[in-house]
Amino acid sequence: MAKKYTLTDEHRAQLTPWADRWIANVLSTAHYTADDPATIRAAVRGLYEAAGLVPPPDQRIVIVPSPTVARFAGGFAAAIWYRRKKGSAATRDATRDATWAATRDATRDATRAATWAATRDATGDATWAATSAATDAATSAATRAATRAATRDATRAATSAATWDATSAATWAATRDAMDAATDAAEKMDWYRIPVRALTRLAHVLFADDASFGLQCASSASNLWDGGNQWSGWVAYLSFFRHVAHLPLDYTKWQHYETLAHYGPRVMHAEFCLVSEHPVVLTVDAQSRPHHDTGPFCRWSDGTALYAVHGVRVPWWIIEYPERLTVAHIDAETNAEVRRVMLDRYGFDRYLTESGAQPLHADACGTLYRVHDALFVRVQNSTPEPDGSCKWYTLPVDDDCRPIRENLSLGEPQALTARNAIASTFGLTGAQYAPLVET
Amino acid sequence: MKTQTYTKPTRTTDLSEAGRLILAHGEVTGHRHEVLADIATDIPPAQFFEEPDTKRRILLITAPCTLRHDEHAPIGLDPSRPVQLRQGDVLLQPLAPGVWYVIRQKEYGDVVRQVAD
Repeated sequence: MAKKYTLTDEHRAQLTPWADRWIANVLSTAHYTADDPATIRAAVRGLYEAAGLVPPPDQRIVIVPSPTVARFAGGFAAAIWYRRKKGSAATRDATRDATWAATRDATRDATRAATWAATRDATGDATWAATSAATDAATSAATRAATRAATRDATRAATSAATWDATSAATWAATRDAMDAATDAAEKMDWYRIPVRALTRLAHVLFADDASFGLQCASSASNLWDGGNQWSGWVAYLSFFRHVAHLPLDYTKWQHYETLAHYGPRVMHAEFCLVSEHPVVLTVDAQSRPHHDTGPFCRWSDGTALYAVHGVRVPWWIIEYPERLTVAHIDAETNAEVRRVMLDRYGFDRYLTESGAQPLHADACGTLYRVHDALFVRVQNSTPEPDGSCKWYTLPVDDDCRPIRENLSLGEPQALTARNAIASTFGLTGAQYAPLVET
Repeated sequence: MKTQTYTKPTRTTDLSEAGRLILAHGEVTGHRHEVLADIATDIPPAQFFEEPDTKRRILLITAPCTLRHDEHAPIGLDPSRPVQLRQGDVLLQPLAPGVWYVIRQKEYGDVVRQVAD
């Protein structure tokens, strides 16, 4: 097909603002308004009808508080509908059939994919990087990737716990305490707060001796998943041509997908559709990485929450209860990035004092330590406190004592000495560092 | 030894704050590293600006001043003695008589960051 559109200077100038608008949409924490449920239901109906499917009745188009609820409730509901229609059959085939992606795929093909194909034919991919890729790059780590990983891990943990239990109620009662203890230990190290144990028990209540089937359906509910506003990259690209370039395409089917891109992730099943609310908290650092120093970087109204520090997913209790950290916790942590966050919370100086870490080098400037794979230099303030004592403080330095330049790039490696380490914090080499007066 | 000279670039960015020469603010404590005239009522005979290309922050003084901070002892700045000076997390690297490159201390980590005092 001949290309129908060439990017104009006027339109080019709108690429970045357009991407920014959709980035803000991904990061939205806005509460749904009183009008939103009706808008959502109309758009869901439109999606099913665009695919030639019978939409679920309104009472089965449900707004749920979080993606976690969408994932578990969606999986459980899919399992219940499967058993209602075909009887109990807890097999791998049954799980696959219960969570068959037909509805999600059909609605997507009829709306997003069809519009994508028409747009691509008419325009080429010229604006893809400036709209879709830019939106994804700025938001994926904190939204799409994080939600997917947390709900996946939580459903796996729940499925694993249920599988550990035998399938009889008697065995369930006998093993419940042991499972609770194991789940407690596992949950303590999770970077998300999702009530896995309660959801596992719910599966036992709903499915009696076949809890694994319900939980496996929850695990496979990713097949029913559409990311909603978390997948705004596609919408940023396609809507640019609809609203900015005014490409002469038929958008009557697509418009429902675009409408739902303003709302949370959804589970789409032949019999029901669940749409998540937005989170109430969602924070990122200057580099768009998921980040919050004192709480979850992402939290939904039902209390489910995700934790990360400058993009490093960390056990939730480190953030919520940093006072519980001990030297033993830090020494036992095998992930270097998580350990650095732990050290930062605990206090480098306190750690060096209490861990008995052995110095690597000492000179008139201070003392250099290696703790696991990180270097720290410990120095004393030159100006005494009112009581005559001098404060100690500890700074992390580059592993090769490379000077940290003004533009935050690193200079050449230096010998591992305390002088070189301190000099590196001012962007200098050890040979360049010799303050005549220091206070 | 040959005396170093410094030529102030054109189009520098003035970093003074309502006439005050604050070299660094403490992020945590609110304390300041500030250049003051030796006579309290005088305006310090100095300039504090950013170079356009290098982004270096430069302190230029034409008469003796004092660098003060609430938690550190004061340091006298003498334009005729361009020596390296350090007050807590601020290092003054001499470039020429009366001219210092003002360097904030940085720590290495998940993100390289200025030391928060």
